[in-house]
Amino acid sequence: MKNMKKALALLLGMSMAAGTGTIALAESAEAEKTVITYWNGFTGTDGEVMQSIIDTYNATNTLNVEVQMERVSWDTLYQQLATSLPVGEGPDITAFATERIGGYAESGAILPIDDIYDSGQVDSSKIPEVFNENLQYDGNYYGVPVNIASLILYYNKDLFDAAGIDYPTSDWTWDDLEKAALALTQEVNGEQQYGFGMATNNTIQMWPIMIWAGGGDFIQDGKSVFNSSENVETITRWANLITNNGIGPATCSGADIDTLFSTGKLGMYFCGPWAAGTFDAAEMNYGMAGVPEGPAGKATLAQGVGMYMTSSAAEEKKEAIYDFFAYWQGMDAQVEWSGSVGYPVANTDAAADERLADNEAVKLFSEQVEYAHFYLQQLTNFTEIDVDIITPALETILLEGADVQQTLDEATAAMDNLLG
Amino acid sequence: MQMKKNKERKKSHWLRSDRVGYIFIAPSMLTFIIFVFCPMIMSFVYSTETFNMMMTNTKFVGAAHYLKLIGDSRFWNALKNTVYYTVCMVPCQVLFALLAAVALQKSTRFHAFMRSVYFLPAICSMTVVAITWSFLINNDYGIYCYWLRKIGIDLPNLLNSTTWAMPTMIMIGIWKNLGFKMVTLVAGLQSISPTYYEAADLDGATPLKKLVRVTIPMLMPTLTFVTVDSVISSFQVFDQVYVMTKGGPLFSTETLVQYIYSNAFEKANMGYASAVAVMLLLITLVASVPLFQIMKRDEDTLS
Repeated sequence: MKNMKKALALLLGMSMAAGTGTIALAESAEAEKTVITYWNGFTGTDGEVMQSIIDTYNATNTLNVEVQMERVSWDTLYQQLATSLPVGEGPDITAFATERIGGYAESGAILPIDDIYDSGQVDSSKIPEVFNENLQYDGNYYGVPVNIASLILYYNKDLFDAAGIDYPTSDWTWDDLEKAALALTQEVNGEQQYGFGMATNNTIQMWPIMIWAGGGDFIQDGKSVFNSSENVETITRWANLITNNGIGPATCSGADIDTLFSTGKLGMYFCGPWAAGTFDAAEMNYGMAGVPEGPAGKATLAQGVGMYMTSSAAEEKKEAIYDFFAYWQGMDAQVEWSGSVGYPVANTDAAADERLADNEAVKLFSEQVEYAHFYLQQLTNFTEIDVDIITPALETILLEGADVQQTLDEATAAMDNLLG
Repeated sequence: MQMKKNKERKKSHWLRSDRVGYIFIAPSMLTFIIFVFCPMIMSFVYSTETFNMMMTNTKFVGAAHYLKLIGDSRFWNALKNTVYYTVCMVPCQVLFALLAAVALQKSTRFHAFMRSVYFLPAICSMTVVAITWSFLINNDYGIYCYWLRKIGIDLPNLLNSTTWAMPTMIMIGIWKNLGFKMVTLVAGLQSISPTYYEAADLDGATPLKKLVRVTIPMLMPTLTFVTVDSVISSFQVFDQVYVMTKGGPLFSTETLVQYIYSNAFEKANMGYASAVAVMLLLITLVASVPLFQIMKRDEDTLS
């Protein structure tokens, strides 16, 4: 009896030891897994595509890395980064448009990653030029490309058919745009219908497309050139068409203008690749064309979104993070990303990939990158200049009919004051 | 024996009725200290410093932020908008809530149903309410504007007009918060003893007289609470503004809290944002404490 108890105890002890052994083994496998947290604002269909690419990466990478993505709206993202990064509780990597790099880099919230380019893990010569220079700040690389998005002219085919005018083409000039906009601006069943509109606030910038095509700019060599004669002429022309001829709403947000277009109240507007999915889902009869040519040639706005390693990322995660960054630049990820969302390729090699050969949207958006400008880059006070000076200047002209020259002069002085 | 006595004394020490109270309020005091009092002190400290987004590179700047406030037209504009909102909001809200409460105080099924209808907006999230209203009143695709046009009323583009954006905000604010104030007042009304009304009836008082001479005086404590609460929440209006206009067009709906948010989170200028926050606290105190005193005095003289 006593022996049996002993034997039982022994057995129990052995099985317990074995048990802890397996637990220990499982723990070590778990510990080897590197978890990378990734916060971004891709809340549209693009985010779902990104998640599926990340799922593939998580299943196939050789370093046992798991990328965990969390998506919130861009506004919320900046707010969460501001409260989490200073206390080291932020994500390991994050993504946002390149115009914000300055603010984050200056304070050390995101870290330089020159070595990923030096080692050749990511090849900078494959990144479109305008994008490449804006992934850097103060001589250091801070980001790798996520995507570059250019704006094109979306138009509602039904409205063009009803008015009996030809669809826009990529050869259009400002005069063609103006003529069509005037023809489409009319009352239909007592409801106002607009020909062409531009959102002014809380939006991807649309007015700068006009500014550049008119031969103007915002900042050159660290000085504001917002009150140039070209800008006065451009703004006077289009503000006049909006306020006097009513071709579009005077001021509105990006969300407003998307709704105007998708409800068939607006004939034409500038927007990026992400909108197509929404319009397809609404079964709209719409078309896309290149931006019209202004007095100084063609110009459009492109926005580059980069991925950044934050100050919250532990040093030992760096290898895993670089591995994921490199994977994102790879052909498979790029082709799936561009092909599914319509973004121009951020890796120029992918443009030649046969999987994208028949994709009209990618072709059209990629063509625009050639004459695309980035808006207000390399600044630490991007928001002050954009939200506090340029947007109010345009809205004062559009809402209150303020004198264009005088308003731009005041805005220029305010910008120079901030640019120091 | 000695020990037992000691223990008893100890027990009675903490169970004495004046001391046991401290134990009861300890949890809420602790919450107050950690989540209200400390942040309040911290924001005062922050308001005398500048630091970058990572809260490093801290420099003491003394009263510099406060001096900057004096010359900051955006701050004065935000203060003006906040006062505008409060001055329109509070009287309308209290008056409408009082009328609704008096009309719907009976406990019949119909009245209870109507009370629920008025109360419904109060339990909805402000974000949802604000988004829905933005859609409904948009001049181009909003259904309300469409219907109004059908009967010949052409509304301006409310939220994109510097003149109309703020009144629109106020109307929606009243609609949203009316129900809660009304329910608070109904509770106050129902606690008034019917004997007062019987006495008034015997004296031949008209319904209006009963309202002015009996109902309102007896309701004063509840009215005080509703008014002060309304003042404080109006000074702090933010979610509605943030969702509907983000302070636009041309800063015509930018309130103090929206301005604090824009400085703190859009421009990463926490120090300056804290200075505005401290000013808001002072302004709210200045506005609500005297109000409380005046209404308390009325309450005392009436009762």
